[in-house]
Amino acid sequence: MLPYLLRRLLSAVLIFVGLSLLVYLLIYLSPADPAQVIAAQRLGGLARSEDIAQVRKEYGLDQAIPLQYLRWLGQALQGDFGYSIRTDRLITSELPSRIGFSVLLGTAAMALVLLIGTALGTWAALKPDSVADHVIRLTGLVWVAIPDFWLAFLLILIFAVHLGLLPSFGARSGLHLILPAVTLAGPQAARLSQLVRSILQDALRQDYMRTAKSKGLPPSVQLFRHAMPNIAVPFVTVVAYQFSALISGAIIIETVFSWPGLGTYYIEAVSFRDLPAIQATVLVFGVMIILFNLLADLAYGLFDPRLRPS
Amino acid sequence: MAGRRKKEVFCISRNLLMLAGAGPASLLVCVCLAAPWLAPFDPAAIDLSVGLQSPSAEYWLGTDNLGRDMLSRLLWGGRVSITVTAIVLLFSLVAGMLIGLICGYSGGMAEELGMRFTDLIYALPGIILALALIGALGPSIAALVLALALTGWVRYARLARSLVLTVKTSGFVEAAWAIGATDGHIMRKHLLPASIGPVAVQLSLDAGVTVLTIAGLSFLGLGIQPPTPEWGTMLVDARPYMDYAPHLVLPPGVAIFILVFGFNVLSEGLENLLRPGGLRRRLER
Repeated sequence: MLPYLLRRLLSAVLIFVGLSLLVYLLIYLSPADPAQVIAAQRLGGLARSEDIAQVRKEYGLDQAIPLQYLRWLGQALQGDFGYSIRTDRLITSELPSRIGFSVLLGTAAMALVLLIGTALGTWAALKPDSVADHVIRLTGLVWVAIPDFWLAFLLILIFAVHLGLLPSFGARSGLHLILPAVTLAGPQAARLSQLVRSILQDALRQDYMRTAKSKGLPPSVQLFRHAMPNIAVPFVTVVAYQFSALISGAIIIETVFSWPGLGTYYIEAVSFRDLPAIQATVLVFGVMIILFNLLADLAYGLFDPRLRPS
Repeated sequence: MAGRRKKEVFCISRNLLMLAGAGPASLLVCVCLAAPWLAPFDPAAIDLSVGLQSPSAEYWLGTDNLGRDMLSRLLWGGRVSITVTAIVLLFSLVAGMLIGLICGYSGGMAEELGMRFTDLIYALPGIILALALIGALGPSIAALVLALALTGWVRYARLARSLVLTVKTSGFVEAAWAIGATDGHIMRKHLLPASIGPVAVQLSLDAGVTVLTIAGLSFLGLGIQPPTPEWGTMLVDARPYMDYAPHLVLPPGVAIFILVFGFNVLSEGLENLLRPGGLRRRLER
């Protein structure tokens, strides 16, 4: 198991380095000269060429690209992403509260996904070809295709505008969490229920289930001690994938509900073409996803005896 | 016997579902592409005297706050989305297949490097990288196409490489090699037929995802820019009026849903049909 984890760790580090390089090179994709943009921002559009040269020197933009990259990466690793062009504040001081709100929303959505997805999927798998099974399957297919920002509108229209039950934007109370979390969790819960249904159905058809049944074990023991552990590995794979799906879903959903998370921050940065903030946010998203995938790898190690130390 | 009967019913209902999904979607695609001939009004013509009208005989889907005809905007908007989706898919397909083929065929260092790069792009959700590119380039249709194509080719590269590897190691290709078949012959006669099915499944799945992404990005103001009508931007425009003019909110969402649902169901149906043995084996099992 240890060499396996080391291998995963090494590949995670490699992906991080590759990602940071791509992210750094973004400033060379931009048609604008970054030094000029920063100078114009700082001096209110009155930047002369010596000001631009000054900025270029200050930010190390006159050095060779590999050197610039290493310098930027070194600072980023210490949490220094420079100043946001949009707000002119230290990006490091803006990120923590945004990350906090996103983690809150993400945790709530993930809990809903796991709870609803697993429960419905198990129900459908235990009663194949029943009405419940078909309804769950069809709902899953339909829900995955509904554009989430549109669903958000409909929910706001019903629950905030017409019924007046829930607030439609901001993050001032726990109630504000409900609509965004439900909208975000919906399609992923639908997806997870489809998956649990199909892998659990396969597991229930296996010989070891027949053995468990013929030993006269109660149905709950059959399900939780014999069937469930055997679907753990594909389950973890999908949940790890869904974590990144939740992150990308949150970018739009946070914006619709004005939830002050990392997604809204990212959209504000992209709309303003605030490159330092874009770079910082992509890197934070990347680290979150890489860490979650590492966690999934660890879980494989726990669930799959073949990867355990002998 | 009863089991078989059940399976048959299951398969037929599956195909009905595929028809129910793909039928309306292809109809919508055709109608939207024919927008220049079908749309009753100019989608950009502003007439404040008929602003925010409910659906009527003259304006089938009503008008928006500037008095623009919603039906015409819906059709023209669909035309834009579908065209952009087609261009993105074409770019992704050609670039991805080429890279995957080269990697799979060459092997060694080139393959290792190419595939590590593919893993890298694959590690992050496409929309995050696409947004970063749009942020660097500035929002426009060209930036949108570039951003989506630069993140979309990865799936085809992986697909092409895995196909090459399967075909390379299969007995019939070894036999073909042994009797002196050229690489070109093997590609045409063995690789191409084997790849059509999986590529069709992936294309139809990606079509749905791409339509959804374009609408989402435009909704955020970072995709297709006004005044070009687009489903996502139509929804944003509707937001201030949504509590008393629901006719502005429903049609764009339903249109996106029909396309995405259709492509998803189509891809699932194709996958079932193309599985070895296909429909027949599923019936006989």
